[in-house]
Amino acid sequence: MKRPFRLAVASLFLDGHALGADEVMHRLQSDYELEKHFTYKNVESDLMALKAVGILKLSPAEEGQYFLSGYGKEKVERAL
Amino acid sequence: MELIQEKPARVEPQNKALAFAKVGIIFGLLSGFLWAWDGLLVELAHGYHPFNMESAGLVFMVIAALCAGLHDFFAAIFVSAYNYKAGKLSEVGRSVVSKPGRFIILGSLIGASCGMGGYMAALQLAPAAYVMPITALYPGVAVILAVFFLKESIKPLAWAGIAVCIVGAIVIGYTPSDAGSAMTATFSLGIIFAIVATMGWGAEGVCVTSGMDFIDPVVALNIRYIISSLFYTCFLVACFFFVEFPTDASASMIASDLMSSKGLLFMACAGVVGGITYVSWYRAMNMTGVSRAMALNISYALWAIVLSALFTEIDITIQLISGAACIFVGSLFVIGNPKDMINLRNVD
Repeated sequence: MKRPFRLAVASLFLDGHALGADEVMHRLQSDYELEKHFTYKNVESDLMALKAVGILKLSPAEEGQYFLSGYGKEKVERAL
Repeated sequence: MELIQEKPARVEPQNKALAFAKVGIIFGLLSGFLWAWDGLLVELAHGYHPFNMESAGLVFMVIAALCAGLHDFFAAIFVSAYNYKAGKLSEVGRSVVSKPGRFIILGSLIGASCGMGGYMAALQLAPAAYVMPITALYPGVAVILAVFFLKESIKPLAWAGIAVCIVGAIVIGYTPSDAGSAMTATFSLGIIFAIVATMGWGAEGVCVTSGMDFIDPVVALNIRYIISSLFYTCFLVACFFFVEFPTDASASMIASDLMSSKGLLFMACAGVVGGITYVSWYRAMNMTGVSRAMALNISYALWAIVLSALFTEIDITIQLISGAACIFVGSLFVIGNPKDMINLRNVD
């Protein structure tokens, strides 16, 4: 079964790479593209919500890119 | 490719985060405003049979559970329709079986049983003058739990604002009571239930917010309403089987009155307004943190006075004005500097 969308977004960051909304959309396209809520706006909103609660952090190197915080890694691994 | 075309123009990420926090504040204030309307509609429903039945003991609990259950059932229908339109209904099913979904289910059960159940039982056993100020403390409980379990970051000004909001709600809810007559045998039990309700509502917010880290707020709310509707249904079915109803208020009489009652329409409207209220509240908890969202939500006490002044014949007393002023000032302190809300938690 597919994961809840926001959890699927957060779990993409487990490999340690920084990602932006474009890349997140590209990676989740095969699983969620037929669902109406799969839009750039919603992905951006989920990224901001994950950042607000400390799971993601803004990358200092690249604008608009996020990476998983230590706290976030622990939380995502527990949620899977 | 179509998806890439709808990408908006690039905006500074920090500005986006600030705008996100500000939208959360608006949702928090909106939840307080709409909750007052919800209360007004429920009050109108209470003007009709069977919601206005004079009853005691377990029959009172049945009527109260019927009100809460119908309210949450209509809200569940509204939120499900909203999610269907947004294409998120499939998210509800997959979220229920996920690990974060368990926090939503736990929070929903605590909210429905300890929160609303405790509140109704407390009102039955102790005077409202004691119950209302105690239950108004629920944002305080939520703040302590949020700081402890969610590592929520709260600035000193926001702490002060939350305290002032709670004082305001207590001032509005407090009505002097004859202490002698209040001290019945069941009084202490009523106070315990009021404390249970306060703890239950605080814990519900923290549990649900923890789940919403990975689940969309409106999806989480859909789960919450389905769970609470099922909870009340089970409670009512059990009551109809095991509670001995008086002859002038039998279970079949209540059910038949309900189906032909105008109050049902008001309750349906309250359910829809309640659904929108909770959508706003859950979004606010997710976007500005549990403590701020709860403090902003408590502004319903302020709006309730305004609505009562407009639609009922309530006397606007100094006590009400003082309480409302406290809530207004407290809300401003809570909102404080939205920049403080860019990072909600003290984490690495």
